[in-house]
Amino acid sequence: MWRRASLYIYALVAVIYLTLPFAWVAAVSFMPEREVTQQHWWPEEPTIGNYSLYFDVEGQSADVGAAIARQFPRAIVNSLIIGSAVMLLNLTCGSLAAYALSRLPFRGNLLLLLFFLGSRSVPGVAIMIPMYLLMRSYGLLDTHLSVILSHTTFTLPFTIWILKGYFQTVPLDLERAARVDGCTPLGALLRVFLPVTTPGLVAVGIFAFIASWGEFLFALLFTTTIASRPVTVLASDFAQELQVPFTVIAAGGVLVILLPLVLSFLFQRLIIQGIGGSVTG
Amino acid sequence: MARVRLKNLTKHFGDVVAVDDVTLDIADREFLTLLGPSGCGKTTLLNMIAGLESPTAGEVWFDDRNVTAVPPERRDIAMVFQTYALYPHMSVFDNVAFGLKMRGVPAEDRKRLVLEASKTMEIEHLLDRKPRALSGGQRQRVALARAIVRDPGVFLLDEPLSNLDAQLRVVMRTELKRLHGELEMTFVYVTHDQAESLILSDRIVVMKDGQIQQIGTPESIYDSPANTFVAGFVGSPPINLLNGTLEQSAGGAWRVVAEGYACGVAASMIERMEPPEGQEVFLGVRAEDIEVGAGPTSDRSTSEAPDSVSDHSWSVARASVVVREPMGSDLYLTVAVGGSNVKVRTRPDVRFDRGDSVNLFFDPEKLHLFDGESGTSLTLDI
Amino acid sequence: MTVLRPSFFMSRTRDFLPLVLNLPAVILLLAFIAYPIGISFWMSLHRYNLRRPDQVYFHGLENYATILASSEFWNALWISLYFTFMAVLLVIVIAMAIALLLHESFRGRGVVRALLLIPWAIPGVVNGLMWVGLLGDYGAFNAMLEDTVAAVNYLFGINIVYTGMASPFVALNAAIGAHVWRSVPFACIIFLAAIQAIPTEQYRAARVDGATSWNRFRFITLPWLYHAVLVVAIFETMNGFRAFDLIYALTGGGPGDATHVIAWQTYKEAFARLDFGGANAYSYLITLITMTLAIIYIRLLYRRGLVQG
Repeated sequence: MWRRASLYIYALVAVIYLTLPFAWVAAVSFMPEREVTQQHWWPEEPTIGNYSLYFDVEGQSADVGAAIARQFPRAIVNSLIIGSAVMLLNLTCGSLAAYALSRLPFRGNLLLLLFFLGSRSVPGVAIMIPMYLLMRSYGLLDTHLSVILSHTTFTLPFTIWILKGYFQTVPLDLERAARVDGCTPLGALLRVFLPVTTPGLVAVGIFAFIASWGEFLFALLFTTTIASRPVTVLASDFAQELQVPFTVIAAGGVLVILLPLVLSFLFQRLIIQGIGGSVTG
Repeated sequence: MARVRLKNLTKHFGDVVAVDDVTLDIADREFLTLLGPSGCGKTTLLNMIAGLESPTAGEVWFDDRNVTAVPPERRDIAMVFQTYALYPHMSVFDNVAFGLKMRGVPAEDRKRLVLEASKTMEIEHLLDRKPRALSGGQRQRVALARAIVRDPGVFLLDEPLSNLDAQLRVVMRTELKRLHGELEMTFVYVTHDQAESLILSDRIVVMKDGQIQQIGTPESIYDSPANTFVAGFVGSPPINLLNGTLEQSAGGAWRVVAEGYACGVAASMIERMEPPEGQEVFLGVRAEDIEVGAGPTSDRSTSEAPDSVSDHSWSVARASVVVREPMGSDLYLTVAVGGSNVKVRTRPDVRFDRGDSVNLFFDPEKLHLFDGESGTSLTLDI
Repeated sequence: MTVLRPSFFMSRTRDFLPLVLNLPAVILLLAFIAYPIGISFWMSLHRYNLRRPDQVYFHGLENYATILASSEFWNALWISLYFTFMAVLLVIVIAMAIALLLHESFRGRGVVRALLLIPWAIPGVVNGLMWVGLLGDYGAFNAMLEDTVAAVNYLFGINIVYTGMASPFVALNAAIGAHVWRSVPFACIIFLAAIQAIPTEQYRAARVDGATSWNRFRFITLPWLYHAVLVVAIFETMNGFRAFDLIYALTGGGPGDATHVIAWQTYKEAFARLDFGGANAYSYLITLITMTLAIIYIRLLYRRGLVQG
């Protein structure tokens, strides 16, 4: 009895810890500015006024922060384009490499794995200047492509690592059975291996997408105009604009978080099993 | 239908020689078993027949076709795996139909063939299920259906029964034998279970360390093992092996002698040996080829020494029962003879128990003699 | 009898295919990680300030000498070390606590597990902005902290003045707290998987042997989790040293230089002072430090990891 009760208290504390910061911000995003100063926890006069700034298509509003807010829809589209491309590149390059590493014994296997792990340990700040110069020299500054390439490179090692672990859990006999059943190696990959590993692929795909959605440093460096700026960079403008009311910032924050949040809810089982099992496995 | 010939097949994994120069001729519609302990190369050999592993040297022939370089999808084979390897994302029907689909069999024919095969394997009621909803025995049946549905020339089975529990194994063993009777296919079966191999096979290939130890019918493997390894591996309980020295008694009879025992052997057994006198040998005798009788009691003289026994019988003084294991229809006695233990199979009504002194009588017709160094049989007619 | 061609993928091409499959990933990483880091090293040996683009010349280890002699570097390094150490420690403890909870079976576990990923889904910049609000003048946590300080003052009869994010101490530790909050889910996922991999017989055996629940945690759970803890430690150490977006949004390095972590310092060197040579030397030092730590961890992992099996 005591054990049960303490377990639920424990669970409650964990839930509060995990959700409270975001819950408060979400609540604030529905408050009129005055309620924040009264330190309310729950909007007494809920309003969607803070959000309307973000969908002010005509650009009428002259409120502080409106200039930033107006660009949000476009920035979200940018983030979507970048994130989807990063996800696709991760899945194609990552699954090919992981397949080779987990399935085909070859010379240099370990060396490649160390190379992948090593590139994961290079911090972004360490290569930001050469990357900036590189992108500049190819005329890629302020394009989606520059951000896509940089995000892919820093998520790819992790993708390969996870997928390699995941692929190793699939019995080799499955592909052998497919070969005996008449598949070519490529056929066995497409008809048997990929369908069986779909949960793992979805998990790393979502993981790469969310990582790209949240990345900031390279996006900040490479993008200058709304033509390519992703939503994290746009949101960071609020950090410079000291006059913007926090209610507006909170609404923006909720908008930025919405998609990754929904994705993580939808795929939480896959992510928790796929990522967790492979990292230590 | 296919005759499978392996010519000097060799497989190296780095420095490890998994299969060493194996030459084998498998007749059409034969049930051939590759038997050996784990790591003996039997699965590698099977994989090379399937084309899943390419040989380091040597050739694989199906009938008059050299298929050494032919990938598995273009060999006329079907295979059942130890783990069954059912495709988890497909229904049972799709699992069985997959091979047909890959070979371009039209949908209507596919359906008919799948139904036929599932009827044979008695899985018609499972066709809509996913593999994870099946029991071990059901999965096994699906795996077999998937293999037989294509009517392949060669049917390869890699330890298909080893993941089943003991009772189911017996059922599926019978099932396999029935299948082989019904289907006109060459079966190549890999197992480490000697009982399975004896029950199922037309011929058995016993392997060790990548090399063939003996090829023969179950009877010949059991009755005339080529060496101590085969003798010890085939048969349950394992054959009793006693080491000793060959010598001739004053009367001219030949005996194997060691501490604690002496055993007369027929002169015909050793006539091919040159010279037999003083040779170190292993004496092999199976548990069922030993008779057990009451031993010398303390008041009796020890005049009943092996010397006085005629050529064709044998007894041992002061052998004593160590363990008594009743098995229902049989009784197993473990008896200490000199420094070693001998396992004896006898009738359950035999009353001897732990500590009893007994005499052992070996059936002279069923004795095996092996070279003391190489372990090769000295009595086998080659 | 038809003549069958040897399959394209068979024997002779054994080593060829895997390299082809790895090629796209290798090319990407060579082009955008290996090559830049080479260039970065080369530039770090040059005097290269964008303000004087005509004066680019080689001057060896001069940049490194300047940095190692500057108090800014040592300040940033110290802050980063403190930041990372605290972050790694707290992440491991909190994530472990939640993972242990999620391993228990109770009604509503699914809900807790679904909520687990919330902090992880929030981008670092947005996380920073969120905590600006939470710790700002009207922020929810600010009020709590004020009350706590007041209570402490009252209880112990002392007089600590709480100045919120204007205080270097509060700012730095708040940044750590925010960073930890966002990092917990990932670590927790890893711990949870590792805990679930522990065979239940181990616990039954321990019960039979008379182990208390603490002893079961100490002598079964922890040793089994050793590998996972090290993996998390590696990840979090790297993340700690590269913390940038959070600092950018939450403190902007301030107040003063209280949250000048080394990544922030490097960024400033490059894009505020436009000293590319110096900034690259900075980045090299960071890489060196994280690599050294990673190697230490990996050695530990292999030495002990193998024993655990």
